[in-house]
Amino acid sequence: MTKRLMPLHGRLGVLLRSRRRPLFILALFALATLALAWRSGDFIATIARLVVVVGVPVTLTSLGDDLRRGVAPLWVQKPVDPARFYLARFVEGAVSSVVLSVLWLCVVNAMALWSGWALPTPPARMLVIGMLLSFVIASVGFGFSATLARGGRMATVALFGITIALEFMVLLDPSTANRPWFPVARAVLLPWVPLVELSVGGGMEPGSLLLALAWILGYAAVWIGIGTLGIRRAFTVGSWARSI
Amino acid sequence: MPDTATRTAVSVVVKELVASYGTGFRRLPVLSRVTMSAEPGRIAAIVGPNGAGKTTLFRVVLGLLRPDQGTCLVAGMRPTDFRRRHGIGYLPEHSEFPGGWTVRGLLARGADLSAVEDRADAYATAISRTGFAAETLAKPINRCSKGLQRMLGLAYALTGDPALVVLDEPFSGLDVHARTALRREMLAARERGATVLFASHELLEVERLADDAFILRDGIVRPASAWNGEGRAGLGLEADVIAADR
Repeated sequence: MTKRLMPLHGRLGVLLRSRRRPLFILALFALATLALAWRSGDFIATIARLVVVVGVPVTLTSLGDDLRRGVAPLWVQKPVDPARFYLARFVEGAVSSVVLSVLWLCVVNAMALWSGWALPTPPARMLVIGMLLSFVIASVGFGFSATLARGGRMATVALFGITIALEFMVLLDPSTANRPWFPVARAVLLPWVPLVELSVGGGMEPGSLLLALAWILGYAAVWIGIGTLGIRRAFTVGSWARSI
Repeated sequence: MPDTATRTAVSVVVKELVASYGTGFRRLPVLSRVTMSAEPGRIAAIVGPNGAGKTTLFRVVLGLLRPDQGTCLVAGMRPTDFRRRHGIGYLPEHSEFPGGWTVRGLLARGADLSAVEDRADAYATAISRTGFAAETLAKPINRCSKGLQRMLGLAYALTGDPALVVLDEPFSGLDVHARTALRREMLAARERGATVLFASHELLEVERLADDAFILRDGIVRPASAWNGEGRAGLGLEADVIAADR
């Protein structure tokens, strides 16, 4: 076969163009939060970081538009396997999200260093955590949007919100960790503990560092698997096959 | 790897097909023991009122919906297997295009995804099929008129010259020039040996183009008696469709 007419950078350009409106709104929101952080310090800057690290992957890896609006037949009428096609699209979206998140974190970190805020995490480590969190959110967004007929993006943001809320509960009342449902919640919700361990773990043993990393990547892999099964179902017996 | 399916004509054989949407109590039956076949290298039309199940039948043929009972074979294979291996040219009734794409970009992507030896050649053919001016090719798709989008959908579906082409209401929203171009492309596809399956409310177009016709009503299909297996027989199809309503 002759070489591809639309190379990877062309496809990434189209992906970003196709989501330019939500990305523009996110950028405005992130810049406004960063402007607030200028006066209020690092707590608001953390929100500015999360707006992009969470918002961009949710925007770039959702399949809702394709599957719900009926764009999917355009791609799958060609000799492609739908699951492989959308997995490739997920990788493109996830890589774009990670790159954009890192760029944004560099901006926020530069501002933090310039303003003299007390950073709880070294900037380089924060970049690594930002990359991992962005990838995990991308995986969850992919899984939800391939499985739910509606509200995949909202469900991803809600899962993130519940995770943060649970961690606050534990911070305010450590006995929450003794509740019977707590281990289940920790397993289902985003892998916040390993992310925090990585962020503070200067003195961590190599074994526990690997364990934390394995938890994060395993969690992402489970959501990618859920998304793949969702796509297979959507193209055969899905209750919303009507929209395809 | 040469795509043999584009050289060999493909038959579509549907037997005792029952299909529905949804699950459990929300299951909505659409097709009821449909039996029909589209012969290789011919144009077969399906006519019938709205909601008769034409689009559902096409989704089964495309392998996008699994039937509850019965079989559907495309070139002797399950539709999903055929589609994944060779592709099926498909123009849905309501073409939806993703945001952010230009006409040129979409056709390039179509050529990339098609099973062809020479992608540049498939792309050039697709561009010529649209008949669009250079400035239209550079336009974002969402700024094109409905008629242009329809022609783009057709050119995209035909990219790589698929051996089976499924067109759902292809004439809707087309002006006289686009209709002529569509007819030309359908006949050219048959000339290449492709099997063309299309649904339409436009009975004159059906009578003009189809080698075989089927009437689908309330999920049940039967051959149009105006054809009688002996070729076209003038303007009898309208009476045939009305008779099926009784």
